[in-house]
Amino acid sequence: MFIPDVKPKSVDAATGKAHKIVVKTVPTLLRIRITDHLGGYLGGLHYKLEVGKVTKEDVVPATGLIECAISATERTGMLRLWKNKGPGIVGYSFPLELGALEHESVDRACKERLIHLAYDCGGTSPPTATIDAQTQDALQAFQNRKALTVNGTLDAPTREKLRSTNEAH
Amino acid sequence: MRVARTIDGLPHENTLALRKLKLFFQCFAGKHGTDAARGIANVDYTVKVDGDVVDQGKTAADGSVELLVPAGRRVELLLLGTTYDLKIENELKPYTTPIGHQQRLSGLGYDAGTHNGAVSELFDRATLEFQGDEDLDPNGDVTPGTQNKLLSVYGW
Repeated sequence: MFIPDVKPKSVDAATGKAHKIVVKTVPTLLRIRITDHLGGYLGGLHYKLEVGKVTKEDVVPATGLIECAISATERTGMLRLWKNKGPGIVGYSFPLELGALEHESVDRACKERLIHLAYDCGGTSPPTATIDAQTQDALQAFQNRKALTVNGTLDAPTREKLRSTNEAH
Repeated sequence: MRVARTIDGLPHENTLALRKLKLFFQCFAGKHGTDAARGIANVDYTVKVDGDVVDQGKTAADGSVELLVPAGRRVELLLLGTTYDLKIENELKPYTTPIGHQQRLSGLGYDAGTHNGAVSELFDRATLEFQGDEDLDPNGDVTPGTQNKLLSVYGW
């Protein structure tokens, strides 16, 4: 893999004055795929995604994919889903922490990925790093479904499968 | 929910899975009779997640309610003046195991107690009731014949 050197760029600017410098960056995106627990795409739900000043409200397409351009500096957001809309129905709320998902080598991050995939690890939300009996049960169910060695532990193949199942479709 | 951002051109995404459930409210346990005879139809229900109302409706003609359930949250189903706390089980264990036997009995409406595989009065009584309903020898023993019958009645 070739990684080119960073090229310095200079702009002439007079002293004693304020200058506005615009830096072009690649747009930052948030993608969330809504699925059922078997991995089938879950289209047809109503959703409202709020991140900073951006609000997107629509129906989840048949691909289950919600995609939204967001500011790179936003740290929090909110996703709401509705199976049916109506008076008094608040909907499913999912507070979002943007850019906070940790690497799959972190136990807590693996538990979070299990929960994102609808496996119940018990305990509090957000989860702790403890691999208790309920988490082992969830791991066994995940390993069984993914044809991995069923041992209820966070071995390397399980960590990798949790990452790839969550983060690529 | 901790999520990762990405940039245009990269395939990275986050997954949010909701468990699909179909619960049947019936006048009696098991699958005997017709849907209309078993099902408690056209009754108002409310679903709450962490105290928020997420869905409302009426039970279908067969008494069923279809739910979407996220993991790691408190899910309640309110129906006929009763609040049911839903505990999600990650998978159905093999039908030849005691836990798998309990899960299937409970799934059909027989109260088999906590799904821990341990012998208990509730577990025995549920097995007896199932055997009686299915014209098996009502001895309360989890025999291969009872296991196979439970597998076929439950469906998988």
